Parts: sequence; C-alpha cells; structure tokens
Amino acid sequence: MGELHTGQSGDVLTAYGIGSCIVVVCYDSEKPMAGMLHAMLPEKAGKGTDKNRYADTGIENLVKAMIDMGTGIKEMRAKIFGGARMFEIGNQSDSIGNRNVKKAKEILEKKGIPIMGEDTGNNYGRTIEFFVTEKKAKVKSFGRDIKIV
Amino acid sequence: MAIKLSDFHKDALREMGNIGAGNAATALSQLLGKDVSLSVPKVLMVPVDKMVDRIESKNEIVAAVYLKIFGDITGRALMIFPQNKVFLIVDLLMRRPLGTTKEFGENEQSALKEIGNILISSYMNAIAKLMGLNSVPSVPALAVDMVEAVFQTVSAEIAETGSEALLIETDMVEETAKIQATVFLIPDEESMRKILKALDNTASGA
Repeated sequence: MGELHTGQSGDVLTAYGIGSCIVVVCYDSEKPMAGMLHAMLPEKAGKGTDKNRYADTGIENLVKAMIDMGTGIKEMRAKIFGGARMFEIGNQSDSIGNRNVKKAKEILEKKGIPIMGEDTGNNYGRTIEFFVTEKKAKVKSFGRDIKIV
Repeated sequence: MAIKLSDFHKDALREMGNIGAGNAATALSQLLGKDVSLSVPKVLMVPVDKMVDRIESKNEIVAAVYLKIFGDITGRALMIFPQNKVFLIVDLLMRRPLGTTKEFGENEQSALKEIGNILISSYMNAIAKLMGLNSVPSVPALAVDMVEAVFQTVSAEIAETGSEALLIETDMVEETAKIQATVFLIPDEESMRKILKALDNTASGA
C-alpha cells in the first residue's frame, strides 16, 4: 500500500489482492511506459505522511513520475482498478472503496487524463497485472473469469 | 499519537485476550459439540500498513468474518478461517458428516456469520465482566476472498482514524478436524486508552 512503480517496454506492473484500495495505472498513449499507484484512502486522514497512500496526492506523484520518464500530460491515459466493498457493513456510498474510486476519477478528470478502462467496485478482491507494452491489464479475482481491461 | 505499551500492559492485555478468547472458545466448543483449544494470545501494536504481514500465507483464499464493535469499547473484530478448512467447520456446525459441504450457499454463509457473531459476543461479554466495559458487535459481514484484499480493507478503515492497530490475536483449533481460526480484536485508539486505564485500575485495586 502506498506504492508507486513505473515500467517500460516488456515490464509487467502488478498489484496483489486489492480490496477497497485503489490502483491507478497511467500510461503513454504511444510509447511503452506506464506507472502504477496503489493507494489506500481517497485523501489524507489523520497523521499519515506517505503521499502515495492517498489517491489525491498519489496521483500527483504518479503524473510527476510519468513526466520524469518522458511522457507529456496530453499523451497520458489511465485505467483504474479496485475500490471494492469487501464487507457489507455500513452503507455503500460511504464505503472506502467507493470513495477511492470517486476521488481517483475526480483527480484524473481535473488533470484531463482520459480513463480508458476500469474494473472497480463490487464486493470482491482483485489482482492486477498491467502489461506495459500491450497497455492492457489482466484482472484476476477468486472464483471469477479473468478480465482483460 | 503512538501509544506505548508497557510490559505490564502487554501482560494485562494478553490476559484480557485469554479470558475473552477462552470464553469464545467455550462457546464454539458448545456450538460444535467438539473440543476447541486455544493458543496464548499475542498482543502487538503494528502500523496499519503492516497488518497484512501478520498472515504467513500470501495469495491464499480465506473466509473472513468481520464485525464492528460498539459501546464502551469501540473497534473491530476479524476472524480468519483458512479456505481448505472452512467447509469442515460448516459441516460440524450443521451436524453433517465431514466433507459434505462443497460450496458457499446462503445457509453456509449464515452459519459462518453466526459463528462470528457468537464468538465475538462471548469475547466481549468476558471483557465486560472483567473490566466493566460493555460493548456489542454489529451484524457480521462475510468475505471469501484473497487474504491481502481482506486485510488491506480492514487496514484502510483503521488508517482513517489512526496510524497503528493494537492486535490481540488468538488461534483456536478444533481438535477432530484440526480447524483453525484466527481471531483478531482491534480496539480503536481511544478505546485502547480506556482499556489500559481500566487495567491500571484493576491492578491498583480500585
């Protein structure tokens, strides 16, 4: 959690067992380069200092990392994953998963980065493998078919 | 603000866990009609992001029953059953021959939630008797999923209000089918202070 990694041609970026957390993948529409953020909460709460733990500040860092690799903001595309509501306690809209998805979409929209695909919400965990060259993610969940996003 | 646990507090929390989980194990034993043994509880403070490290097996599917706790003590309780054993516990509970249950239907899910409910209620009852702090669990929720997904979700909830989690961790083992369940009691930061204060009072005879 609170992780950010980047990859280039041939790399696979992976996030295991994502529940309510949010995974944001940002990639270049042309060149084979991508970054993956794994954030836990929509925004800073309490005394947390690790920016990559939060969707809002984490996406800022993700975009910076992409620019450092040589991508322009106009070439960036995004895909988002996770934000499940693993336990049916409390109401749906208040769930951390739901708020994570909303926040990620809000920040990406503000930055003008189009969201090209998503597999979010619902009540099950996901393992995400993003293939940088193919610009596609393989999403695995327990007892469900593999999805390509 | 990080809470420092003294050795005295750790001992006292372990004892509290022992009494709570002991009561819960007795309830489980009655429910299943089988002997249930109990490990010595582990008491630890862990950073919320490190909670998942408590689980040895990665990428495994578990059945997790999750409850929130309300009252004098607020917090969370999480029970983890390894997937390969969870059908056996349903068999025992529903008085079926071992090996009968093959999938998680409505009945099986209710049975597991009910176990969670009974275990945590008896856990909290024991604590109430011991320290005079009364609390009740919420309706239980169940997830059968990747262990990381379960723990991350609970960690995220705790991270919204605190940076560390106090875990009181107990293993229960049912003797015939060797079914293991790990029970985590995770009081909120404010409740931790209340518990520690109550423990200090008990110790000083107040």
